[in-house]
Amino acid sequence: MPGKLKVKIIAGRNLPVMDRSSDTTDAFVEIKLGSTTYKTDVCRKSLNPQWNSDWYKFEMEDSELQDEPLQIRLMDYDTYSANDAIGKVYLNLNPLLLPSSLAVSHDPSSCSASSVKGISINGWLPVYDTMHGIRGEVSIVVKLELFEDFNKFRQSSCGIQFFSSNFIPEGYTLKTVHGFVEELVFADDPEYQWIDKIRTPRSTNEARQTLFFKLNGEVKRKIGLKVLDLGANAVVGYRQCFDLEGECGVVVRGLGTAVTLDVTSIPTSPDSSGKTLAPREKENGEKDPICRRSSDSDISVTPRGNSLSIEKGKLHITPQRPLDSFDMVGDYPFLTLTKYPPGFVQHVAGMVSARGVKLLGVDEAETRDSWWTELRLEVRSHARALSCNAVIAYTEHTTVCEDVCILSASGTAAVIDHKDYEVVPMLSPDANGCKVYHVPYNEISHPFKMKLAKCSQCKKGKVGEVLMTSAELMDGVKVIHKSGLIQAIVCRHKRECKGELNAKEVSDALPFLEYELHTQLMHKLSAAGANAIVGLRVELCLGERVLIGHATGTAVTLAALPAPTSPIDLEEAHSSDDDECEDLLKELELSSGNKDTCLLEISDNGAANNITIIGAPPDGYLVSTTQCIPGAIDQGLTPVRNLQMFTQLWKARMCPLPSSATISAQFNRLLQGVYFKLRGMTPCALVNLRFKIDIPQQDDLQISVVGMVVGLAESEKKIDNNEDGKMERLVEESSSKNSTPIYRPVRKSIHTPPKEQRYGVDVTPLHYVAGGKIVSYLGNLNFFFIRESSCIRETGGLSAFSHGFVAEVLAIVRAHVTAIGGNALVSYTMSECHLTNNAHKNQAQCLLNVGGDAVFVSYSE
Amino acid sequence: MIPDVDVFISNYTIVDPEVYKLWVDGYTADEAVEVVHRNVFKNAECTLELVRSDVFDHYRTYDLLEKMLHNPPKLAEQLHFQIEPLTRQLLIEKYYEFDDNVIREILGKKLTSRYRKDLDEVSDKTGVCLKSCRRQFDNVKRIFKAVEDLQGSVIQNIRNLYLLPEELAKKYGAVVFMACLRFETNKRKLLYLTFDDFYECASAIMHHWTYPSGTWDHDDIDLDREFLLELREIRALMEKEKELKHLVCSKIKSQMLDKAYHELEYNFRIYSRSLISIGCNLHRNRDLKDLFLDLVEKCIEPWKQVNWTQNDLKAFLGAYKVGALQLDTLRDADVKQAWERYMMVLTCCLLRMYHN
Repeated sequence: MPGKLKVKIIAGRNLPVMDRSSDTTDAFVEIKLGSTTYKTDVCRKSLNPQWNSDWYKFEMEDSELQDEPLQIRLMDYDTYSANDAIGKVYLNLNPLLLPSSLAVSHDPSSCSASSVKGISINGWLPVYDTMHGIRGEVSIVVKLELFEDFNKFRQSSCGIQFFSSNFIPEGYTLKTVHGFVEELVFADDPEYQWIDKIRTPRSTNEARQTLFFKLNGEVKRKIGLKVLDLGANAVVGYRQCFDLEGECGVVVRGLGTAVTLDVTSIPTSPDSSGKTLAPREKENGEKDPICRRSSDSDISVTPRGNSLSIEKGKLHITPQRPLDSFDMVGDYPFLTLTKYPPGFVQHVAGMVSARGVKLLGVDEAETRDSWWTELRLEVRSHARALSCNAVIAYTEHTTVCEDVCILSASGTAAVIDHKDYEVVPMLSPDANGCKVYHVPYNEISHPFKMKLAKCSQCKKGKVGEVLMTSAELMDGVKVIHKSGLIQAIVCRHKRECKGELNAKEVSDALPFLEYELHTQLMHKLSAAGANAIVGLRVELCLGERVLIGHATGTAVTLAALPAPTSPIDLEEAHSSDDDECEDLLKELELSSGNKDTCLLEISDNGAANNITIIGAPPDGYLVSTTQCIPGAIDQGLTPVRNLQMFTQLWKARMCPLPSSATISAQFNRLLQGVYFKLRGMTPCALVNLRFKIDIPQQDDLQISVVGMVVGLAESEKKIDNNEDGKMERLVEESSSKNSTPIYRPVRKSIHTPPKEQRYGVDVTPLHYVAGGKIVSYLGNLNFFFIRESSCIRETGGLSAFSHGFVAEVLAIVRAHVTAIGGNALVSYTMSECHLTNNAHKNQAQCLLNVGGDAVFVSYSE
Repeated sequence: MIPDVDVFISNYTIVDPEVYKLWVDGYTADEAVEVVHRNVFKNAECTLELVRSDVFDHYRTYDLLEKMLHNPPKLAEQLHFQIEPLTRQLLIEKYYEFDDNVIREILGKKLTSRYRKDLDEVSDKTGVCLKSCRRQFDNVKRIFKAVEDLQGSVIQNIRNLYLLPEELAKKYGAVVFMACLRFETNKRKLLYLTFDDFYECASAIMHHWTYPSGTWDHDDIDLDREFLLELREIRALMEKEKELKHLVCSKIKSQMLDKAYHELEYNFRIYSRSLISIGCNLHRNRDLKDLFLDLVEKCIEPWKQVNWTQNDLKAFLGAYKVGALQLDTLRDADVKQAWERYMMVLTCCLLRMYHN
């Protein structure tokens, strides 16, 4: 399906002065796509040049259109010496390739079944230079004409829409879940090539940026092919990560869930059934293994023997029991969404995870694929051991230090409904939703004594003592008042060594770290008086001398689970049977398919003393790591509007061997800082908090927090909470007031739902916009930027440098969203933020990877 | 651990009016931390640290914004910071607000970079931070340079170019006007006058002595030359001094205390002469520049000596203006009109400048 791309350069504004003698610039533009380059005329002596160029035409294969960003470079013309670069714009063309069949359009007549809609990108885009940041803007118009082509051997996969959203995008209904899709692309990192020694930092950085943009397109295109193979038409819960492996290269991983989505119609289009049929036809067509090389190795071999799993801190070894339902969702029954339509998930068992320590060498993509395959198989077997047929809220994560890499895969084992998810069963009013948290396995089948209790709601099913899940809270589940942020941080010191020794050192330390993390979580959970953690994320960070693990989640008290034990009772409870399992040998036996299992039985009586209760947020703040706010309804508050997306970046030199407590204290302080800064916005909820620990250089500790502030208002109808519950809460609140800092007195909310269009572009890490309705999805955007400076002190220090850079990247993101016709970016993620500096050389470099779904939001009722 | 980096970036730029005020007022970040810390609700043990981090964030943002504040329309156009319109208006307004006593010092000075170096004297005298003085000086200079040669109403130009609210634009208009005409304001005898005095006088002059609005060359920086030349004709009043005195005195007798009245009767000639001669000479640039000095030396000082009250002055000037019109000396309608325009401003200025 070749396409013709037309580009017009209209004007520039606010360009920098490039010619000092005349205080002006002679600007011209180079437009590059693939191997074709065009140039505009030189617009002499103007900082606000007008080009009004003709249409530059590029004829491209659509696979190239998917891979290649359009590169627009502004240059300053110089008669005698080489032309100077002003800066660049990278334009992702994928929004132009979106299928109209999936476009939720304001005008139903404009979306015809299988034609590709020709939208255009047009607007002012910031011109970015890696050494100077944003240097003015350029106004361009880009249009695409695609020719129909039904060649099924094609390499392109346009027409597949990607959503970062962790839930079914607004305006769509889920027809079918096809399963897990992933792709991994490996490339040499330009920064580590020999040529880097002779070229300027600018050209290196630009080479890297260009490469990263291309890899981003390539990964998406390849995933798209797999999605087509599966007969799906979209990817939801899409995540993309860049693993910078230093000298070894760079790995780009994308993962998501292939689904067939249908536009929630509005009975206007009679051909809506045809829309979903179109991709299905392809499904029936022969799959061609030659032209669609899938990156993962064949995993038809099912693991033999017993598998083991970690769930709620207890070990289970269950006999292998093949479950037919596995076949339903692809090779791996993994779903990356964190929230599901009601009735889809039937049971949630608990967290399952697998980790591997690898020594990086000059390997290929295949090697890395096999590593991940190993981990996924392990996760799958853990899920099976829990009699589950799927893993939901699945994520993968890596941390690299020198040549040692820790890979982690984790998710929540669950039993899900059939793959063809058709009807939305309305929850019957008498059902109290507790069923979802009943254990899916038979108590007797376990060789260990487990503490299962009768469900305290329905008195029928069995439930675990506590529950940890990476997913959001299920709809319709009864929660007893409390919720709050819970986190555990463990920092283990290790010897500084190289290569294989280092890998061994790390893998020896891992089990202990996990155990400690888990213990901390359990203690904090009971200290918080809760019995479940939702939205739990565990991430590791490897440094030269430390290994840091941190877990963050939202503690809730589920009505179904047994009432939480108070901290005093805890010790007693623990000493009875708290079993922890680890497969200590897994990392070293890379080839083994059949793993030995060993059991760790630890009675931890002394552990209770390392409880450090995390500072509760001051009044007026609700905090959670999930997208919804578990405690809000309970306090009679509802989210009414988006206030702010924020990024907090903190970096310091740490003492060579920091303790867990120091880092934990630092986390606390960061949170206090955020509360303090937002003091003018209460009552508000801080949702979808994402913490990231990084050790960019030896002895440097970097913590970043990305979150969303949502304004709360008293809901109009008071919930008829039973009186005693309310009393209890009141008592609690008054008692907590003494202990928590109050930055301003309790007051009535001043937040009102947004009336009309919100100013500018709203960026939010949530999949919804409070107080607004997402009308259309305009494309999944992903940006990778590098900024470097060799005059840090002169420009206000490292803080000013990173502040400016993050602000610039946000500005670029907003401009691109505007250019494709959006007014918000949802499901925003910052998946990489890497800041390195050299104080002596007065230099610093920062890498930032952000992304999300560009959408148009309507605020009118 | 002292952090190398501790930054908070939000999608919509957050402006804390209190911290912004401190920044505009030229407080250093550390001083601002102290001030904010004093006012903040103290409860957490690490408040100082939190305040510091917060204030530093704000300061960084404002430092990055400052360049764009120099050209307010750009602030709306720029993409770097997403600032909601109300916040943007606040940023601009506060940035261009000034201290009257600082501007009083700057008035009548040549806006050169040499003078900018001497601003520490202004700072010492007024007790305003040097940084703030510099900002105010730079603002005045920037606006002056931008509108000096522009056509049309200076106030409207300032409003368009700097998006300032009307009150503030008027003040800047007056400052620009004074600077354009180089009025003498810094002689020792004039030092007692405040910025507000000059602002009111300048406004009156801009309103009455420039080309009237509606005419094609309306421009409230340039004085109406024809009017100034016309004013020479009022010299004729000097010859009719006796009649004028009679008219004025009879009008005013009931309004003044006897003592003051007698004094006026005695000195009428001097007062009348100075009022007329100031008007006659206004067409000469040198005399125009010295307008305020002349007013003080020739009128205000003598009246001060004899302890006139504001009311006395008001009564006298009113009667004087009307009296002159009643004489048939000012036959020509143009001259009559010129006299009215002249006296309107003079009354206004003198009343304002006559402090008790």
